[in-house]
Amino acid sequence: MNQFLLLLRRIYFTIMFIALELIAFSYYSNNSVYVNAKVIDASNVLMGHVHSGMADVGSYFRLKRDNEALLARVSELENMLESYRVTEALRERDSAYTGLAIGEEQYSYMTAHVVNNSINRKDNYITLDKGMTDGVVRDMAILSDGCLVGYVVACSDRYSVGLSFLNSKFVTSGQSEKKGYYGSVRWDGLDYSKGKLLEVPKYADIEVGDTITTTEFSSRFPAGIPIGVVTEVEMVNGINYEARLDMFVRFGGLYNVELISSRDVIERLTLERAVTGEPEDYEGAEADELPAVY
Amino acid sequence: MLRPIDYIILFIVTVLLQLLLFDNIQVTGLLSIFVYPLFVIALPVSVAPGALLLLAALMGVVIDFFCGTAGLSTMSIVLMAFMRPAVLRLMVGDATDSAPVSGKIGTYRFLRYAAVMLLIHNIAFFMLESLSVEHLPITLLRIAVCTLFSLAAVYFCQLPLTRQKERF
Repeated sequence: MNQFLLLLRRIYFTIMFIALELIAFSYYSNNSVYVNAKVIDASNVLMGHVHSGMADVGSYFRLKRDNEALLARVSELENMLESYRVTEALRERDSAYTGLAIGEEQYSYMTAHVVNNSINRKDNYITLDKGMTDGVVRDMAILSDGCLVGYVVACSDRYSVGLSFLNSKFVTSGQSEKKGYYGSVRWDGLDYSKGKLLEVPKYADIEVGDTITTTEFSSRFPAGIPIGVVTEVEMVNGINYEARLDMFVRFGGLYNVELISSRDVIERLTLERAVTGEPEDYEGAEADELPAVY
Repeated sequence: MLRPIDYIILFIVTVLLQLLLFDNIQVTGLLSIFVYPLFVIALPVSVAPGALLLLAALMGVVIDFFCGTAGLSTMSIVLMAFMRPAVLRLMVGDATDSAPVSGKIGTYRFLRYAAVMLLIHNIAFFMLESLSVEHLPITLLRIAVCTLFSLAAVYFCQLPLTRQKERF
C-alpha cells in the first residue's frame, strides 16, 4: 500500500496533466459553432461594455471615412427609391401588375456596430452591439457596405455573435454575376482578404475578374450579395475548377455593418426547428451549401 | 519574493492585457501576441506541481471563455506548465527558488527560459488550431514570429515584478 502511494506521488503530475489535456481536447474537438458563439455571448455579459467602449473610441478616428461612405450610400438609395416610385406608379395604373407592394418587402434591414472582431484565428467570430431587444434573431445575414460578412448564430439581450466568413465552418454558395455558374465559397484559412470558390464544374466559363455573388440556394443570404472577385483559376483533378477570390469586405477594420433578415427564411427555419426539435449542436454551415443537383 | 496577492494581480493584469490590448493588435491576420503565459512563467520555482497545472488550466479556461478559443489556450498552456520543471532545470538551473523573473535570474537567462516556454505554447496552439500539415510552412512562420513578439511582450510585462522585488 505504501509502495502504491509512493508510486502515485511520483506520477500524479503526469496523470493530472493527461487528465487536464483530455478534458480540454474533448471540449475542443466536440465544440460547434453554436456552442462557441454562446460562450462568447456569455462572456459579453462581463466584457461587452468594455469592448463597445473601445470600439467607440476607435470609431472617432473613422468618422470622416464613414461619413463619405454614408453619403455615397444615401445617393445610391435615393436612386433605388426613385425606381420604386416608378414601379408604384405603374402599379396604381395597372391593376394586373403583380410585383410586391411597398411595405410588403421580403427583407428587413438594420444597422449595428462591431464591438469585437478577430481575424487571426482559424475560427473567427464577430460580436455586434445589437441583441434580441433590438430585434436581432439567429440566421440574420451580416453585410458591410452591402457585401458579405457572415451571419448571426447567437443572441443575448443586448449583444449578438455572428459567424464570420473567416471561420473554417463557414460555407455558402456563390455564383458568377454574369455567366451563371455555381460553386461553394469558403475562406482560404490564412489571409483575411482571400476566399475560395470550390467545385465549379469544368464546363463553366470562369475568368479572372468575374464578380462572385451569393445565390438563391442560400438559406440566409439574399441572392446577389457581392462576395469577391476571381483572381486566379485552377483546374483540380481534371473535374472541377477552383478559384481564388479577393474579398470585397476588409475584415480588419470592420465597424458599421448591416443586418438583413428575410421574413420567409426566418419563418421557415423557425418552423423547421420546431418540427425537428431545437438542435442544440448542429452544424448550421452545411445547411447553406449547394443542393446536390442544381 | 512575490506574495500570493502579487500573483492574483498578475493573473488579472495579464488577462486584461491579453483581451484589451494584444487581442486587438491584428496586423496581418497572422500575427497573434500571447502575454497570458507570463503568469505560468513567473510562478515560483518551488510551486507544487499539482498547483502549477491547476493554475495553468484556470488561466487557460479564463482565456478560452473570453476569446472563444474553445479549449485551445487551455491545452497549450497546460502543456507548457507540464514542461516547465524540465525547462527550468535546463535553462535556469538553481539560480533561484522564487519567481524566475529577469531581476532574479538575469535578463539573458530569463529570455532563454521564456523563449522556450513560449515556443512550447505556440507550437501547441498553432498546430492544434490547424490540425493538419496543409499550411505547414506558414504555420511554422507564425510560430516563429508570434514567439518573437510574445517574448518581447512578456519581457516588458514582467519588468514591474522585477522592480517590486528590488524594493523589498
